[in-house]
Amino acid sequence: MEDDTKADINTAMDSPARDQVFSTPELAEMIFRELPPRHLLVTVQQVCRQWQAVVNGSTPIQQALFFKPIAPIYPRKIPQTKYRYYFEEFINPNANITCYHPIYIRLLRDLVLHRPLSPSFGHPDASWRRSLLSQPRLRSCEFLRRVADGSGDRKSETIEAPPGGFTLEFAIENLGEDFLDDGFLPKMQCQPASL
Amino acid sequence: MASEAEQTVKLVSSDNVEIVTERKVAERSMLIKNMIEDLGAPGEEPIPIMNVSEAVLRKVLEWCTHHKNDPAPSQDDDADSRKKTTDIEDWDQKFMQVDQEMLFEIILAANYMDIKALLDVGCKTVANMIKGKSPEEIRKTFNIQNDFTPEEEDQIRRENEWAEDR
Repeated sequence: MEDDTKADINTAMDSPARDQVFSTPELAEMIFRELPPRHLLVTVQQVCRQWQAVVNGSTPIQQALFFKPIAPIYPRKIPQTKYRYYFEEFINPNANITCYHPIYIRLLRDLVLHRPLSPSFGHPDASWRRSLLSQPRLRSCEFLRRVADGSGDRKSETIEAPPGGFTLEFAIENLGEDFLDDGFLPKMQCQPASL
Repeated sequence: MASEAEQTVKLVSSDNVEIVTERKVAERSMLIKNMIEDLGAPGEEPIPIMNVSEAVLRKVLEWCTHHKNDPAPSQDDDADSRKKTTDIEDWDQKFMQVDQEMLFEIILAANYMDIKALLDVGCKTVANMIKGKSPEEIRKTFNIQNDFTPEEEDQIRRENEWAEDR
């Protein structure tokens, strides 16, 4: 008996209640928020249009995927240079930390080592390109660039965030060779970005 | 007059079956708790649970009975203390080993009756059924039609392939 009921859970049958749950965006969102955000990108939104619409229409999910900014709460700690998890957890918007996009460090490493981007990253439509560099957004980035007089001196250069915030693509494209040669992370200023 | 702990309430399911239960058990449901407070005289007037059938209501009350002494959840700790998906306590896990229709009925009932902890367990159970599966396996599990064109499917895959590459 027990084994029978266990088997049922993985058997697809008609279930009006199931259809009702999945067609109620609030309930579907509640279920999806129990999953690591990575699953939402690579599996959940590929299941059907209804599920895709829930992923695209949910603010907390879009924030977890770095597509929509979270509201900053200050004071905040400076950006973490290492993102502890690779899209395995939702960011707690109430924690006073700033997180880089989970693949930022990896992209940097590849660039520093002059490795070509793997084809999955290099695709022009890849959704990481429109992802935000960090949550919450930064108001400006400060880079240390080598002065072009051959002296080896560096001077800092501040780049203000474009409207909508720094995207990951913007950040990667704006890291100059000299910066990359040294293998340093840019010094990010965590400034309140008004939403 | 009976003390609050011994009080009973009469619930009426959508299929018109009367179920008498301990007030404390029924009040795990915020819907019922608020109704009792509005009615003022618990136990006398039957409380209609309009959207929930007898079978589901009995199942929900079984959960409420087991959890009747749980501390009340505080309003604002859900963001901080969100447990991981896999953290479903053993009793709840066993409780949720039902067929899909009942599982989703429980979720609908918990939502309607406003029993947050039960709704959480239900959502986590479904999430665990999704976890680790490919889109095709998920469709099979829940009997979902793939309504994307092959081109659309390809496009979504291309856009998000990077997230599979670790």
